[in-house]
Amino acid sequence: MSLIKLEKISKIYKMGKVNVQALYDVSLTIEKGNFTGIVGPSGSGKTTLLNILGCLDKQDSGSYFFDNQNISTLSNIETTIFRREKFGFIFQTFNLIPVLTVYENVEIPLALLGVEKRERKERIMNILKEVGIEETFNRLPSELSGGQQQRVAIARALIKNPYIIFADEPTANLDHATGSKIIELMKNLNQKLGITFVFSTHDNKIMNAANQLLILEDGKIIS
Amino acid sequence: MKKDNYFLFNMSIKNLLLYKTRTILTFLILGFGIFTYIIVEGMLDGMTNQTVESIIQMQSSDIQIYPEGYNKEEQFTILNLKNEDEITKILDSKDYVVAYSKRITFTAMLELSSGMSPVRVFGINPEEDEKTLKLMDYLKNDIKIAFAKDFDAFFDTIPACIGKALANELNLKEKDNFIISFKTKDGMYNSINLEVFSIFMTSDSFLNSSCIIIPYNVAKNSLNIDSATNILVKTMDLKKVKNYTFDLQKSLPYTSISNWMEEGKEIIEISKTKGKFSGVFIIFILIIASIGIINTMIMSVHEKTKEIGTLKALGMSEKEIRKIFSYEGFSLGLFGSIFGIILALPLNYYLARVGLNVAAMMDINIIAEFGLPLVLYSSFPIKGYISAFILGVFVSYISTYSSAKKAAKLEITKALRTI
Repeated sequence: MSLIKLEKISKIYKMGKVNVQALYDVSLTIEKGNFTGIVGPSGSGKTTLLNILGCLDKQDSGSYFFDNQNISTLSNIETTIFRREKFGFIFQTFNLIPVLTVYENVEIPLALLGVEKRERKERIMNILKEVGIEETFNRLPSELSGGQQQRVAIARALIKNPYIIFADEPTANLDHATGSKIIELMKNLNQKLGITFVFSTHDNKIMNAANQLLILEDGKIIS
Repeated sequence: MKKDNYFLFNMSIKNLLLYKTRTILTFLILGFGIFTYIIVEGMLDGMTNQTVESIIQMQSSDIQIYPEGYNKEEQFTILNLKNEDEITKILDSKDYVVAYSKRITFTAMLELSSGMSPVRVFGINPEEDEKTLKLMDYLKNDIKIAFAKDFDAFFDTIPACIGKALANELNLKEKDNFIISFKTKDGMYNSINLEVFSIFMTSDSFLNSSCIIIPYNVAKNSLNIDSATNILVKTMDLKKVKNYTFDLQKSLPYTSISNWMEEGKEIIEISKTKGKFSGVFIIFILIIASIGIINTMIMSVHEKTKEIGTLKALGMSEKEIRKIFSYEGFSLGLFGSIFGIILALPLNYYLARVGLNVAAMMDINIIAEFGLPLVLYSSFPIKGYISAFILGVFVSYISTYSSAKKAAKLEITKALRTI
């Protein structure tokens, strides 16, 4: 059953007077529960595609169906609420809020969804345990290792039980061993909780873990 | 506060605490501005109050009764009250009249070998005068005895009290003699020989620099008039002086009734100018504080671009992003204003209770010339506190508006690319 369906998505960036076509008539389908990797050389359009899939950016043409709903036509605020309720994000540089503790960083999505404080606590502690960093809940991101920070980012993405998690090169800023552990964690969560993962990567390990690979070249899916 | 709002507020406070030095500097600028405004406002307000009080206590009392047709500008024309007995009878019958004192007021030329100087002369009866004014507090204790004698202006040396600035200007000391010349009621020229009995320094610059006080009867006889030129009236309630003035004018239609507000018009005008100065001053302070806050917020948005992108990606709306920065500005304004008020309170209290010792800071002759009080008391400007607080918070909030708007409008993908 398809969770995501893109039909002839195109995206052009204006770089001064020059127009750069980042995506060219991209059509694809991602099934529910997939562990999907987007791969391709630098400048092939991986991040642009991931941004459009995550509703962080809008395509110039084409249609985007999510769970059979055309979300291309949503207004800005509707898109924000859609993203808030259904999507989780993991970033290459973790993107934790430095002034907030681990607990508070993971709390952000729940606070935005208006979840009661008591329920928040239970859910946060459970998810921190799930990703193996429950003892760090009171620490600031600056007091954590890279691997621990990425685990916090994973916990933050998971906490609201999203339909899908988008990860932009999640292991790029981690050493080999830590990267492997993060991939293992993501794969386990994918299998255990059935959460769909879509990630862009250059990492062979993560490519090997994927059950769907989308190969991009010059803004087109070639396989 | 809703729970999610509390989360945003908590985040904004943590953001402020992240850059402590910058936050403290902004906080200090605003706080110091609020502090300065309150202190200046209190001092200006206190100075006006003291000046108005001084007019009432030294010159005008609450109400003045003049002859019909009296014109303050025509200082050399002698007009005395008709039906003085009837006026005093009516004053005696009014229950709001606490006391009254008859006076002879006229303008004379003070003659010295060094030259001449125009002076305002008050013929007073000390026993009556002390019931309507506080001028007696500044004169020698034995003035009542000195002025009580039945003088013959032709043969006796007449005791006179003279303002300190005037005495300084003319180089007069106690027991020095001088002559004043003036026109009598009939238009004849007359002069009397006076001896400096005491030199006074009050909080009224006009009295200090231009006035001479002589016994009532001497003034009356020398001007060749049979009644007072004006009567000062002390009432029960200063706040009701307008009503009393109206009532007295109705009872005494053949007189011209004035009150301290009309006498102190110039001071009230000065007070209005002070209000304008005060307004300009607070605008100036708030502009400086705004620049500080705007700078802080621009830096804050710049430094948090990536965080803003992340928060928007996580589903934070533009409104919620705006709130975080607005809360930052609001908190800066709130705590800065409270800090300014806390800083101002003890000094304002001290200046209101103990006062500023002007005598210790300035030459006594300058104080006399400008009629400054020896001790300047601040008021406790409740309105100033409230307006400073509201404006401090409001300006901070407004100053963050454009930064907050800019933050909210950042494109997610661009913001996320920021290093």
